[in-house]
Amino acid sequence: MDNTRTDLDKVPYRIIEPSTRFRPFVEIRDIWHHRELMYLLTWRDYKIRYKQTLIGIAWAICQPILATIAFVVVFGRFGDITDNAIPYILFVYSGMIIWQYFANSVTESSGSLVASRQMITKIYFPRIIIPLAKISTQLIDLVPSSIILLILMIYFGTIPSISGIALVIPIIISLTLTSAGVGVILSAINVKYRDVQFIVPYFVQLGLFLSPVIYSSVTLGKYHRLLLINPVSGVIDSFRAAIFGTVFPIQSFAISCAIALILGIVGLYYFVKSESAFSDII
Amino acid sequence: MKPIIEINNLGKRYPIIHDKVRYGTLRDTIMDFARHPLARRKIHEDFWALKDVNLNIERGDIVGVIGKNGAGKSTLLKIIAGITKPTEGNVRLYGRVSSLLEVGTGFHPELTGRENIFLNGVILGMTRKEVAKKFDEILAFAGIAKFLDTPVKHYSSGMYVRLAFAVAAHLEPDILIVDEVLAVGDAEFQKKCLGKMEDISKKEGRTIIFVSHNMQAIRLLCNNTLLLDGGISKEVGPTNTIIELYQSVNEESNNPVIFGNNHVESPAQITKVSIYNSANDLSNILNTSEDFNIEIEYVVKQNMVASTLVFIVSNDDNIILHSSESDDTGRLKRYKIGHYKTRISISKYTFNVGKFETNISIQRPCVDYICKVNGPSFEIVGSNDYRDKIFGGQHWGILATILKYNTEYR
Repeated sequence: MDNTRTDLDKVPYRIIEPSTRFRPFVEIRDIWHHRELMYLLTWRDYKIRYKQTLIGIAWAICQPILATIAFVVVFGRFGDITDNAIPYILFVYSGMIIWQYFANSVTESSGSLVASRQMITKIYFPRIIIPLAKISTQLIDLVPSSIILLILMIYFGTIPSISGIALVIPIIISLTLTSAGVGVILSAINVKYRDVQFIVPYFVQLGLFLSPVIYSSVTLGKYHRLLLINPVSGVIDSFRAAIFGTVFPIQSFAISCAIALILGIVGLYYFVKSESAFSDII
Repeated sequence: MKPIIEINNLGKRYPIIHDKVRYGTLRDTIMDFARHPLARRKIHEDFWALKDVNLNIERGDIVGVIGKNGAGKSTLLKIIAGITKPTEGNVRLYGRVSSLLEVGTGFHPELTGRENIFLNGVILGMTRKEVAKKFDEILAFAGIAKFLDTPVKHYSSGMYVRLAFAVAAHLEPDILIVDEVLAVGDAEFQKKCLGKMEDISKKEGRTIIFVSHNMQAIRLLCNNTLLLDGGISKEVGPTNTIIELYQSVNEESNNPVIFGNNHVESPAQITKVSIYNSANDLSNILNTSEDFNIEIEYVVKQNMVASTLVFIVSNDDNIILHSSESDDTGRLKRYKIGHYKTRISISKYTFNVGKFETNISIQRPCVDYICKVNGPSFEIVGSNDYRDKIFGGQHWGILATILKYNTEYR
């Protein structure tokens, strides 16, 4: 009997109670415990996304390429709307893949909880894994589109430096944190107010023009600071600077990182606070 | 010995929101909105799905949970599984919990059987390594080896269920929570599942909480059983005793008397509903050819205006055969605080042979229900009436109304 007792005492026990106190480290540990689930959900999303399509994974590349071609054809003839010496097509494409990573992450994750209603009402796991898995699926898409970018750059004769490529990693981490923050907040709101899924597409469309994707923030002159409100604009500028080897906008990258961190924490906080009601109202 | 699950004063409250006003037409809706654009049109009401539940479960126990629909069984399981939070009280769990509230959660039709085994296993709380280790066993249990690499959308529903249960049966949690999932699948497979569950707990010492309407399965598997009724834990104890109690309580609903035990606080409460036959004895077995009465006792705790008592009779198929209000003047009534008794007379030849359910409510029509109860059911049996000589009491139909036949002969 005594054996069993010590045995039981050793088991980390769980208390289920009404409290919804915010304990960030417990939450993060819980997410870590379920990392395999996140991996598998990402894998599932990826696996089924291009099922029954003709060109399959090529869609991941087509999306930014087609958008780039459209903008280059329309705006390319207006002369210089960038201050850079880099070819306009390269300029737009590099901004486009970053913007689409953010835009698709937010769009996909915001509807993700409602789409997984069945799992949420039948199984326990940290719900935040669902929107996060959507974002990691988008992160994977970034790989083929980056390879195309590299090919384009080599074609135009601008080879990125090793230090530039190293800089890309913190830039992508910062953007992922921003996407995750926005994505989880929107997904949680969407559980209660489905309005979100109607609003998000408009903001995503609008956001493309409020980010320095098809124009350079420098061309805005003294108004370029306004773009700092948009957490993605600093990231796009930094990304271009890193790969094209121009002056790194350290100030706007720092602001983007700070915003990413705040969004990440606020997102986790808001999500955990609203999470407990999900299975009842979804 | 320390229990592996401790449930303390557990309660779960759900808000019920419904429309304050029921609109007849679109025009009404628009007009009302135009007149009072800011008025609140929803009513919030509280409903305790579970209240003051206390239970300790020892390691290795298989505990059955039984009760009528809406007794709070699923809510209890969902709280223990961590899917929904309680409103009050707590549950302490000393071990890894897996819940099986549905077979095939997370299954994706486009993925193959093999892929779904891994996906579902991880969703249910296994690691990929554990699934890989058990893979052959799972496959053998499901018996679908031939279709392993076919997308499950091409599976028959039987194969789908077998595969899904096979994954779940190979979980290795300390505590397994199982809802009525065995209701699906064929009888033979159900037997196999029950056997597997028995193995899990007896040989491997796991604790199982098992909800079922199948008393046979509960009797077979569970050593202890919890009886829930209206969100309250009625009784806990050895399975056989509890099942007997449950069945006797269930028979009570075949009694000619029903006592209301509505734990929702409301301005009025129906306390007792009884059926009297023509001899004024309590009975719910009645003849087609006798008048009978339904007596409703209720307490009004707050003065109410514009209210009425509504009486509904429906048949086995839940088709409403009759509904009427307490007042045939067509006006709503005021009810002062106090005790009330209403007697409804039902004349002979109203209902034909069959079983009937009653439902009594006090409501503000088109506004809300104040309270409602399922009254006693009654059964109309044949009669030795002159009418029955031709068909021997076997007239077709639900109604027994005697119609006037006027035949003219030319």
